[in-house]
Amino acid sequence: MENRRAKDLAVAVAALGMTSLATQVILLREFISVFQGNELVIGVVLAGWMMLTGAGAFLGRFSAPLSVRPSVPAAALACSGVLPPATVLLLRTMRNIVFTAGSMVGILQALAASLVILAPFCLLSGFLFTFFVHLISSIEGENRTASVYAWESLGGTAGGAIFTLALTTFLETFQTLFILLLLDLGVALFLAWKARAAVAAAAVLIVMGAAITALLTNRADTWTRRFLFPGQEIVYFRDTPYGNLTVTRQGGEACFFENSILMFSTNDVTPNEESVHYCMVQRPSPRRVLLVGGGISGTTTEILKYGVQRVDYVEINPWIIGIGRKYTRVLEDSRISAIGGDARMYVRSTANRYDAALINLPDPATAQLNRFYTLEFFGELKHVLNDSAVVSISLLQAAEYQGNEARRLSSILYMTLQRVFAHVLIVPGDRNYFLASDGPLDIGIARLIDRRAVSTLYVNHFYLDDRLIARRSAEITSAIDTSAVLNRDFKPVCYYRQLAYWLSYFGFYPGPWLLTAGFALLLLLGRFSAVGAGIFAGGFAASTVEIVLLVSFQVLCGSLFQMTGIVITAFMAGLAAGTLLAGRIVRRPGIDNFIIVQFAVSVVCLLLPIVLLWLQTMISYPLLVQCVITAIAFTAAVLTGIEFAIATRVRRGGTTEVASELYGLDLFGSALGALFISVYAIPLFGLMSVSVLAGVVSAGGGVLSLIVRKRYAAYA
Amino acid sequence: MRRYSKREFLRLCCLGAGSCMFGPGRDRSLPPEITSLFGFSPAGGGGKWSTEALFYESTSSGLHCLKCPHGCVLGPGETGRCRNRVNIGGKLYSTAYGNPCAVHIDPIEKKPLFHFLPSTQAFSIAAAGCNLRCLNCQNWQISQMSPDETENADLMPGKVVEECERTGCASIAYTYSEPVTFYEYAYDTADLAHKHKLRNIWKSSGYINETPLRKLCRVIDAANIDLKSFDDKVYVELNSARLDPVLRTLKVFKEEGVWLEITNLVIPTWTDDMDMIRRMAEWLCTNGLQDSPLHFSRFTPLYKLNQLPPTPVATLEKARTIAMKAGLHYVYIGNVPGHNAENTFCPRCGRIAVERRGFTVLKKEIENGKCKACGEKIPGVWM
Repeated sequence: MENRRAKDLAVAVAALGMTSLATQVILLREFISVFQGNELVIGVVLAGWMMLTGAGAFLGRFSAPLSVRPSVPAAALACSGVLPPATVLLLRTMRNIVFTAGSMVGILQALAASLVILAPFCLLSGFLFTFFVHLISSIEGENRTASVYAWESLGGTAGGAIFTLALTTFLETFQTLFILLLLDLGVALFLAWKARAAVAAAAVLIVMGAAITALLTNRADTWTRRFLFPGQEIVYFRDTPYGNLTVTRQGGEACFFENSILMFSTNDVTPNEESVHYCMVQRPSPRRVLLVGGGISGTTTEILKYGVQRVDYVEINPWIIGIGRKYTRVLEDSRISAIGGDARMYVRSTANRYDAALINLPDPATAQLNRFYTLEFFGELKHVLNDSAVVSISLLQAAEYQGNEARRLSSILYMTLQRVFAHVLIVPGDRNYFLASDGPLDIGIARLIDRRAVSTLYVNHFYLDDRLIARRSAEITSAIDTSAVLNRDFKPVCYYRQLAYWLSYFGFYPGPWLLTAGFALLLLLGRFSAVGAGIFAGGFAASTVEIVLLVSFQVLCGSLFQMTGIVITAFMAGLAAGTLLAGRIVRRPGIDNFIIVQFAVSVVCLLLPIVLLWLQTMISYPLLVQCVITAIAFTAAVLTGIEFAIATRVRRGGTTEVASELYGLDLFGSALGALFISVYAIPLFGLMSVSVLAGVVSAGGGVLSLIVRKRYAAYA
Repeated sequence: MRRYSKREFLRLCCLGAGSCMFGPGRDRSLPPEITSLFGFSPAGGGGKWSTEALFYESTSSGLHCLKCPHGCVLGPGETGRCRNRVNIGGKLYSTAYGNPCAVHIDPIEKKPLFHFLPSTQAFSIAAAGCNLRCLNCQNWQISQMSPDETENADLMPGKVVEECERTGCASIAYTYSEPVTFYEYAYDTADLAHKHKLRNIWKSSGYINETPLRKLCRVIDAANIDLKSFDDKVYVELNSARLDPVLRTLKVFKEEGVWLEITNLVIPTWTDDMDMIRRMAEWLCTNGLQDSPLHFSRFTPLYKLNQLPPTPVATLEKARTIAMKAGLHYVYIGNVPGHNAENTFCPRCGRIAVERRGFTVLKKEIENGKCKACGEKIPGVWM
């Protein structure tokens, strides 16, 4: 940028980009923590975010009158810094006032809440994009949409690097947001000073003082979190990269929550005994036990009743082991080895062999959890099991009856286990426990417990009648659908079924909504230019590639939480690089090159399955996988950035009209990708097909541009 | 590229939607991925598993159901809140007759009934449907469904009685979902069971009108009623019901001589107010129910109410102390394995009259309905 004022404003745009990305990451974590943390809620919140920002960009068309007032950029940036902490405050304090206390929030409620709560920030940030495009373009005397997009992406890159990789790991939510606010206020002060807007500068200084005070006193997190746990004393909380952990105390008992969902409480006998004894009692002398998750609830105490030599307890979130050591004594025995890390990576690398493996995890409601319910995982697990070792894994089921969704879910898990193990046995309890082994399995749990003289409070003949359990087990097994699709790493059907099961809580059927949304989309796209449709397709393809890469990395190398930050940062950097360098890479930014780039995006998407298959053979080299995935994210983003930059040249119309349409459609396309791909397409069609779908959509955009090429050719 | 007018576009969309929604036919042949998206349910109800309902009247605005306090008024083709009473051709039908979705054999202690035929088993049945909407429902997959949406057995009253006898159960329990909603089926089965010298157990939320309840008492031998709280506001918010009709049910069962036990689920922040528990216990005593066992049950997160902790055992113990101080003689704690308050203590001598562990009776120190140690009468049906 040539003009000095334009350069100052570019700093503001970068600050806006940084605020937007960091806030997105933090608010998403808050939503997961406050509402139910499954893929559907994440998809809904992300889609809501992008659509509101897109709508804000469209509204930015009316921002021209504001550009004459010199204090507006400073005031706008200050507002965009203040809104994120205000949003979190609102979310936490209103959760149990607007919604029933202690009750899960339905999908439509989550959607409505996210739209209402996110609206102020998202509408403002989208609006400001168009506003800055108009302001900078009018100062420079030419359309600078691409430059603003690039600066925003650069800010996003910094936001991704600083906030998602560094600060969110060490700081609490409000601490991070106050630091972000101070950065925004610093830039706002700079702009106000440059614009000689004394009142605005004074106002910014006052807010700055308040923010510094709030940061130093550091009370906001403690105070607001109390609203989420009414009637309980909070003794510990921490925002870990894997989710929020809270320990509360009530009536002398400690309760451990992850993302507001109870993981376990002390003195909860039934789940501890069921998850251990149904499996352990199957073999006369299990010596070495692998425990995946849930080791601080008291399960280790139950396992040790069998006189085992060693219990290797693998927990993905090391902070859980930390609170276990602090608030319980269940990890004190020297035979227990607590390992912080991804259990799949551990299973692949360990030389140990086990007589029993207890998979003690929540239901597979997310892609992350689904990895422990797949054919590939069971295959890997089998390699570390001794002959006739027993595996136990469970699903939550209603007490007396399995509904259709529950039956489908059970069928998938049963058939997937049966593909790997010779015998699978369902033991109905508070949850349904699936035991799998190559050796024989016995449903006579109470008899076995009596014979072994294991001391238990619940799993014994006083509570369990072997005859009745056998009868119920037979009923459930006979209802298994033997044609059920197997749950695979790259085609994770279980989490779709788990989401469908969750939706059945609310009697919610997404079909009519999908149809309505599809029609609305067609109507919307019909109103825009072919270039706009191409940008929409590009946004869709780009967000699909990003999601496919993140899920693939999880599947291949475990959940390195930093990887999400790395991929997002690489993606933002790619967008910035592509947009900034578009002029150098593409000499003539006309419709022909726009078409070529669209097909190039398509080629990247279509090649993705081949790369993924290759990466599957390279899982022993996680660094290589990480580098390749990062490189693909960067490449796809560079192409998307170039595509956007060319589109701003090809698309006819005034600056604000072009900026608002293209930016908005890019976000709408991304929103569709975020929701449809992560929730529906990946679990049902698999990662490979989804990549192909993204390629086809992008190529479709290219074909559309090809058809109307002549209309734009004159402008090239 | 061909350009469509808006009118043409909308017509195409409607045609597309129509072919998606109705083209393939709403039947079982659709893959589950599609049916679960749209909530299509297999055809069912009506025919064999329907019977004309009892307790309704015809009004100018539709059929007025008189069975439960909701008093639904149903227009043609409409279904009641319970999901299994339908207005078909100007007559009210129950679509839950002979088609139970859950059929199990349970120890009677699981209901819980501690003073009624201990150590026996109950042949337990439920049809889909419920007139409440509890946020913490344990059996939501059957209670919040209609019989059309569940997989059902073919078990007419005669067959239920036959199965009960074949499996050696001493009683038939109408349970799990809400037997008020499958009243006709339960009543006919219970009536037949009595003729075969079998006992009948009613496990319910007690949300029923007085006339159907009094008729029911003729064939029911024991009831366990969930008194979900002692606060009308909590009833409305947590259960979508009201308190007073449930209290009336307790009094009617007592008046009609049906053996009655009461369950109160103690839910943190909802129903763990000790003052409310004291008022509840005092009301029970005032209304002559001091000998009806009261079971304080421990809450664990279920269904939609999954962001609360389980009830601390100390809270249950406190509730029990308060209830006993108020004058109740038999107060138990449930869902806490191995707790001492699973036992029956003689209110006079304080000794254990019935020692239990889980669903098993370890020792029964009762003879002819009296404590062996001191001769105090221990109310109940002891065989």
